[in-house]
Amino acid sequence: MNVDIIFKIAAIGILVAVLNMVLVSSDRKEQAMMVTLVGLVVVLMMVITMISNLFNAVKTMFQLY
Amino acid sequence: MIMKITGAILIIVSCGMGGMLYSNRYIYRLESLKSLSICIEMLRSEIVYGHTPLTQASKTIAEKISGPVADIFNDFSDLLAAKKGYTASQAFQRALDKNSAGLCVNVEEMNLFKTMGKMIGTSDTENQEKSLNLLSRQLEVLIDKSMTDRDKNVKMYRSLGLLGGLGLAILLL
Repeated sequence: MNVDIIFKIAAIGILVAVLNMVLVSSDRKEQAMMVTLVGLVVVLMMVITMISNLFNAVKTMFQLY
Repeated sequence: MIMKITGAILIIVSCGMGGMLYSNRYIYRLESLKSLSICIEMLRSEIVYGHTPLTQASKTIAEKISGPVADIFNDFSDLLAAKKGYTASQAFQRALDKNSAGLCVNVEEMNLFKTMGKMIGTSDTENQEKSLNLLSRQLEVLIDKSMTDRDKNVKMYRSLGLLGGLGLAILLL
């Protein structure tokens, strides 16, 4: 089990939060929103294969083919 | 592992420096505008009270200040002194073109520089004083604007560069 990805996602989360604060404090709310969205999409890209693996495992376990 | 860490440090440092360099533009811009304002004041007193010839006046101004604006006045004075047949406005335009990269100003502020070049040495003392007064008032507004821009953007671009580098390093790690 690889736990590196959890730390990676946590780091991205912190980074996005700080970027968001910096951008909001300099009156750029739209860009702050975009940064948040981009962070979300990047993390989603990272975990999407794992989620699909999980779904496959669930399918196999309950024999839902 | 060592390679990875070295690469990450390189990315973070270079992105941080990129942010620094970009934010410095705002500082240089304010400095250019401020020294232009000082130049206008000095030029006015040279014209109105000293009745100094333009070549000599701009040489004196260039010696008193520093930075790209001083270079403009220096080149302007040299071009006039060389007596190649340029009018004052052509000479100022050439000097401006040569040194415009270091000024870091935007189009609106560049137009102010150009206007100044066009009116310099064209009419009598009284009219030039009036034009210089007008320019200096316009410049005050622009300086105020560029000050708020600086306060708003310098900090943001610095942290943005550093955090961007950090994000890139985390993504690639």
